[in-house]
Amino acid sequence: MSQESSSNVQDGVQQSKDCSRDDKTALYIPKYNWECITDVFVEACKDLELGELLHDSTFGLFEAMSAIEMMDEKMDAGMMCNQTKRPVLDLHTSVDTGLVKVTGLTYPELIGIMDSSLSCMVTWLEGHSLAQTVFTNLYLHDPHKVEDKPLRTFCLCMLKIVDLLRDRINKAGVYEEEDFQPLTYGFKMGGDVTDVKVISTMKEVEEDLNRALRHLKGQVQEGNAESTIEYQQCGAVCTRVKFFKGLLSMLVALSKDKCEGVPQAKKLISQILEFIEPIRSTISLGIVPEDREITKNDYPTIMGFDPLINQRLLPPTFPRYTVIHTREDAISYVKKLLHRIDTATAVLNASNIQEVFEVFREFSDTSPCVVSRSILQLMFLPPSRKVFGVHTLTDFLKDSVRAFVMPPVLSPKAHTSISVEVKQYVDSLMTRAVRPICTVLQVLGHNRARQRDKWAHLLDDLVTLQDEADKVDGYLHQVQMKADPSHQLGSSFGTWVLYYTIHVMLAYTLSGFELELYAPYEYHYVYWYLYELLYSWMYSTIQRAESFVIEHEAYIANTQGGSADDFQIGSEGDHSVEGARVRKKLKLKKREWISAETLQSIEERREEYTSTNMNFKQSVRADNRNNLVATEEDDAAHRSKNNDLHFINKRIAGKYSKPEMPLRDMNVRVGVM
Amino acid sequence: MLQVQMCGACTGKELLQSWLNKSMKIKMTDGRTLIGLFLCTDKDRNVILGSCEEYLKPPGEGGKKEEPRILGLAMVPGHHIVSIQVDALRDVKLL
Repeated sequence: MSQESSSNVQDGVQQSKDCSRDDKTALYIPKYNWECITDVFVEACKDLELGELLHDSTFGLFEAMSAIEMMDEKMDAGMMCNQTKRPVLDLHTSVDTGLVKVTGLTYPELIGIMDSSLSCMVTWLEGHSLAQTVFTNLYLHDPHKVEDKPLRTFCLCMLKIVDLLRDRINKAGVYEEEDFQPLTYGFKMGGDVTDVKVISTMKEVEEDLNRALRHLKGQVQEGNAESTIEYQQCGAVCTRVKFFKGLLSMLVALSKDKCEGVPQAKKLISQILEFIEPIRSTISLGIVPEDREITKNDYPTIMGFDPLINQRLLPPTFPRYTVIHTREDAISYVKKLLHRIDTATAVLNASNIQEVFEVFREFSDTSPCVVSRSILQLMFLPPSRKVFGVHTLTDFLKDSVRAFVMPPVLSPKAHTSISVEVKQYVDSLMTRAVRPICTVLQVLGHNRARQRDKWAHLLDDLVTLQDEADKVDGYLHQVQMKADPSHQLGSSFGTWVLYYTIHVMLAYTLSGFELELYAPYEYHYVYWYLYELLYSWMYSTIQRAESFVIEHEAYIANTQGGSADDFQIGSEGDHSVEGARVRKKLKLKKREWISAETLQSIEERREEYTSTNMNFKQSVRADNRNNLVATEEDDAAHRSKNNDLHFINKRIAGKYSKPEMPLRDMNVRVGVM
Repeated sequence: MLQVQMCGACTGKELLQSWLNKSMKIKMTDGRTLIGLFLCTDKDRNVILGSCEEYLKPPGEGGKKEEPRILGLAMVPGHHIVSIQVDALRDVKLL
């Protein structure tokens, strides 16, 4: 059997089913025995009725609907009018025919290629496919064929950068179809060379260019006019080499599992930012595409780029046109991206979930790109599933509960005095809380338009968690009553979960404004709901938490003989350096997670909604006031509000619970509400 | 023509049904050739092919092997069909 030509392993396209029966074909090409039936077919079809379809039982109308219609120019990408007239050559053919240089590249050529590659990468990051952006650069298909050292190293560097970005976005899992296309089409991403090797080779190239620069500078000083231009060009290439080397190093640093590389990444970011303006000012020194006819999916490019090289890898559906960013736009995008990543690194300063939540929320408000969102998610929870790469999730959640309500059961001194059963209950609650709380943070990582639906689903889980937290509180209350009836415990865990539940409800409601889902005549329903229910619940929850902190501090000091300052992370045995560092932070931030200003601003927001809805609420408030006179009635109303909260949650989540079923045992309702 | 001779008494519909799920090669008016599994047709001879591949030159001709474009599920309007050929090799339906 003779060899068949080595098909391109990279593209993963199946071998052609060739009908020639000679022995030059490969082993497993199916043999066809074609029989012409055109006339018979035509005759046979006349037997069918108008509108009658002939098919077997497994084929239905749904399948028929999803077929591409041939000879329809919108659907048929292979039609002659959609096809390009010019030849499309791959890298090897282009090099052989001399259309593409792989050696002896001039500085302007290098500048042009690097800037165009950056534009392609930025276009990819905005949600286009790799095939129509990054890999329109032929050099990236096989960097080892490039003999020119700077270009070859740059290509490997670019492939590594793209691979790292793709890895981060995939691992974070907060992208949607409109954010990012994960498909790599089987392209190799320089996997045969290590990151470290590429970075060190870039350093070598940088040093070579520095030597050339020094030489050229000498010539310029001697008064050689031509050298001035060459000096500028060489400088531009050198700056770009430093820029891409820094970018790769930064991404490598960020990808370290325990987030230990983040300080180094920050330093690198500030270094790279200094190269942005020099790059921008030298964009004009690069080669530009010659003018050529622009058709639907074919635009003029410089040497080494071909927009149509990967057409056959794309799905056969309607043709998609990708507009590559301009070089100036690309560098501006990268500048903003670097700033966003820099902002994201602030999350490492958080010492509990409440603070992380605040950081995530503020970040999401700026509608950041998919790259920075992914990096933020992975900084908080790397693939090792440890917070910042260091703490276990349950420990971090326990710290967050401590910071929020300081329940006596979680104080370090209590460790010896509480029973195994109580400890088990609390531990299992914390374990159960991991998934919903982490989902809250993950939803904040998605693009803003997609968050609303996810909030609705999350409420389901939070309602279940709320039930469990209330049960644990009830149990603790019982234990407390037996041990020390003089002091009653508040609903610590329930309050903590409620804080997040209300935040999710608020996010859901407010997202309706952002997505313009409410008609103007509905605004006052929404404002009433926010004022009367959500914000006032939030306010009372926070106040309750604050009072718990004060109460429990005193209680712990009296009964357990320690001070609340002993409330430290990992005092159940963690003596690591990390533990000490975070312990120190917690001491400073114990009660600062919600400042007086935040409480003030919540109050202000409430007043804002009041002023927009004065008339409507007056009568409602009058009725409400009549109901909220006595303190016992206050309690009852609050209980019923929590009941409503529960029902509203379930309704939003799309389920209806049976009203007859008691959701919680009212008798065990703990005292301080 | 073997098949047709054997099923001289078959109705058109039965003939069409015998070809269902067989490989079919269709030549279109613009010169392209499609090879796929025959899944569905109607009175106007619109044909739906499954796992369809598109060849620009008729496969088997010329020295170079052409790589087909994978289309998946494709529908060819009847009036764009020039010729139809079916893969008769695995035909087991005799009289």
